[in-house]
Amino acid sequence: MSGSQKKILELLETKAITVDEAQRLLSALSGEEGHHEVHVQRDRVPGLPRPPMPPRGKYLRVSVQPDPEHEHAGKVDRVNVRVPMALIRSGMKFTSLLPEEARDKVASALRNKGIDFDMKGIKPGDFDELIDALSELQVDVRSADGEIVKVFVE
Amino acid sequence: MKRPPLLLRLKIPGKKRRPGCWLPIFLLLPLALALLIVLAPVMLVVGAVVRRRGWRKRQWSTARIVIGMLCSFSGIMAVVGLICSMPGLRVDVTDDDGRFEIAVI
Repeated sequence: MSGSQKKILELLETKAITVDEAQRLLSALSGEEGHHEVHVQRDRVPGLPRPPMPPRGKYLRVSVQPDPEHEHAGKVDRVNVRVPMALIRSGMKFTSLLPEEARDKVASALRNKGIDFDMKGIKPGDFDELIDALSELQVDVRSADGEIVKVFVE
Repeated sequence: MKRPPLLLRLKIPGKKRRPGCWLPIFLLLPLALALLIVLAPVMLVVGAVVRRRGWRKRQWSTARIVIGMLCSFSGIMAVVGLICSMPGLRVDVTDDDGRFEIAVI
């Protein structure tokens, strides 16, 4: 019996987790469940080792390409933007430098617009989760005049 | 691993078709580092004073916030981290006026 399995059984014994949760964790350890579920479950159970994270995307790409049928017709607009994810992370860290009164002003202004958002509740770890979630973002839009807009992480 | 940017490619659209230019940022890095070392104590003192005392006039509150943010050790490190994250940034826009391109290497 591995250390992780023993830990799960100990948690079940102390009723820190339910039988269903223990069963899912044991199944995940044996590789039957998806990787993402294991990550979510292990976040809720203290003491268990975190599974290896999937590789993070390096760049956020925004691409606007003309309609292929009209591409050779004449001058068309193209946009190709590549932003390193590290740059986005560094930019988001600036919010943690905002002084208290500035955060209160921002929160007050947002509340006046009907948005109840408190910047004090944002922790540095939340940025990593947000960036990780952004890695799964994929937008593919074809506009009325045939332009193809894509937003994705590579 | 983060590293500071070395080259900046810049291409601005114009009436005449001009090739883009490569700017050697790596030549500016030693100068920027020297300036940072010299100005850092001054910035830290100014930042501490601004955060503590503030400005009298209300319209300077934004400047006070920005100075208070950047003129601190964590602010300086955040700016350095931001600059070192820029390699790989690329913006390429083509429209009727021509092609605008910025690439940080």
